[in-house]
Amino acid sequence: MPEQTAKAAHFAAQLAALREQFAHQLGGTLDEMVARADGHDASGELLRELHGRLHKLAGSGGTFGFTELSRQARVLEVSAKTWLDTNLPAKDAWTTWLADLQALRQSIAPPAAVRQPATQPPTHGKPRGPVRIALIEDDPVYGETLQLGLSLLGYEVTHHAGFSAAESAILADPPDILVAAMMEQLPAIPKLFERMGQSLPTLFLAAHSDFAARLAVAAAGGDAFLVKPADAPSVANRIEMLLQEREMTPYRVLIVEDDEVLAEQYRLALAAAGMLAEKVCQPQETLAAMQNLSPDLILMDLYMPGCSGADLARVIRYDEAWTGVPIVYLSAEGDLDKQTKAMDSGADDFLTKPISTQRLVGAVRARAARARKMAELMSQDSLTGLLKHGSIKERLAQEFDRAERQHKPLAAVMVDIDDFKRVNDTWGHPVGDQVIKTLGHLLRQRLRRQDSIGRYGGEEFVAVLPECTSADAVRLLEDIRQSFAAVRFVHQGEDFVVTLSAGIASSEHYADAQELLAAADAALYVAKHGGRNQVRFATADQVKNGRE
Amino acid sequence: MTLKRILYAEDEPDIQAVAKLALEMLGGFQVLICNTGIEALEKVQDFAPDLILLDVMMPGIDGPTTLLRLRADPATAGIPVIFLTAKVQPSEVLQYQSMGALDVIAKPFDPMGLAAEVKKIWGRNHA
Repeated sequence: MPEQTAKAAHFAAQLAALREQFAHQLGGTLDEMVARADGHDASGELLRELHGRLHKLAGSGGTFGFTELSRQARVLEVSAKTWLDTNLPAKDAWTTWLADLQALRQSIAPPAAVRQPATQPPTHGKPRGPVRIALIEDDPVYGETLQLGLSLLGYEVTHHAGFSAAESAILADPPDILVAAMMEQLPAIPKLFERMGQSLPTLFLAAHSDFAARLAVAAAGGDAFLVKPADAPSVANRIEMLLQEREMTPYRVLIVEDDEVLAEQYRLALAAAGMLAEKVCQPQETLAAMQNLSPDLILMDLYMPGCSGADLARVIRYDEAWTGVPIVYLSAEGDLDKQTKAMDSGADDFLTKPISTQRLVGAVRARAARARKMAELMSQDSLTGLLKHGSIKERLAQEFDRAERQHKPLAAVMVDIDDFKRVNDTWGHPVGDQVIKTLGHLLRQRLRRQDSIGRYGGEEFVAVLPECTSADAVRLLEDIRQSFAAVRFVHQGEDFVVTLSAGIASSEHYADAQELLAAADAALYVAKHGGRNQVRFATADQVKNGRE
Repeated sequence: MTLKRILYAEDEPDIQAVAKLALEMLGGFQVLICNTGIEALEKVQDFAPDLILLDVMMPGIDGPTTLLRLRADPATAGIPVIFLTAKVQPSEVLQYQSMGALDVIAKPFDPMGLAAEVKKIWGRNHA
């Protein structure tokens, strides 16, 4: 039942992601409990709160396989419950209980800060670090070919000729992904992960495509499977698929709340959970803040001076760009009828104050995740996972406005694959699709986190590079052009290369996003007519003379 | 009658996420998660589930109270209910069954086994 197996494997991967998230928050959750209890006498109210939290911790912990944590939380929960049902604890008993709670906190290692990009401040201007691959392959020719091919696509590849050398290197400095081509070493890989205390996304390259090989890979916990000699673009394609499953950019949340202290409290709670949260305390600043942040979700107080949440929600919905963003009210309003009425004006949900940090974070995350998934489905190109035509134009317009406000240069880039028709005619459309996907991966690898990339037409891409000077943009695209030209595509034993042309324009010289894009297009036209396989920067007269 | 649609009332976001994933991906069910008993009562008629899973300890109205309200409304009285709870003393299981619950699933549940367990209980009662 291969379909069942695949489903189970997919489920296991998703479960692992949830478990990781839970583990990451565990320290904070327990810290909160300790802070809440420490130095206080046991009161009914305090015990009730701690009992509820421990109950949840025991339940979630057990579900995620933290058996010992779950058991200890349960012991503490039962004591709290007994005291609630009978008499409050004597001083000694309470002190012992607190010590046990602290011991439970201590037993949890502090969350790993290094591998949590979500909790770091936004890395403006810094390049996105390349994906690091450990490649294990004892065939030196294939190993080196693949290493070179993947390096050209922007990955950082370390090639190990044997498993024992690979093992010590991986233990010392874990890569992002493991590509293993030595089947006889399969059983050693789960053991390696056990020693590391974490598992890496793993792609196996097998010599045969038979069922036994696939089964062996599945048994070793492999996430993906390809048959040798897979070319670098196909390997990159599978790597991107694996990374996409694991990678999550932080959710962006806008908090609209007139109580500044409360707003800051929410902001900190969401930021601590790895989200990018901003607060607005004056309702009239909401729209400007939305332009800047482009939130996945808005958390809004229902009652604010001068403007009700319901009215503000309606104002937000007037703007077509914001019809899809979820609005969640946060209010002390306990009346169900009033809640329902408030939601008529375009809000999606209601959270009742006071709300625990854990619950706030959980509720916001669940809704933001769903909203983002929906938005992705609507705006992403299915072949490349990049933005669609309409969405990249929209992004360009947004970034153009932002660049103007901040007086920072913005570069727009148009990239086109040379002689793409010839690729399709010679090798067939599936190979053509592979070429398009490969360029998509390359662009994603080389551009920065804050850059946007879209598939503009068939073989045409648009990239939007905020805070990027024209000189930097030209250097970057020149580098990408050379890498792409060096990639060897292999099809049915024959290999071929493909080149690209690019046109770049900088926002400083143009009045709006449309003019900027037309200038980049004109520069691309010049590059094509100059013999292709080159990068051109738009000058003012090229805009006039170029095609409009 | 085959089991297709499941409504699950649970206040803990982590458990919600795991259960939804498990029931949808491994069980192939359509799942609606509700954060509270009240929300479950509001949405039950629209969603028309074949089966309802109820967490016992929830803020607002708890699982047993939610069951009683479901039973009090003729439109929802017939929908089978399974409780999920950490409290699995035999006396409590008996009490839940006397209220008309199909069965009780112990928490913490094993994510890989949840869908199968739900199917097993369903099969036992709808064979």
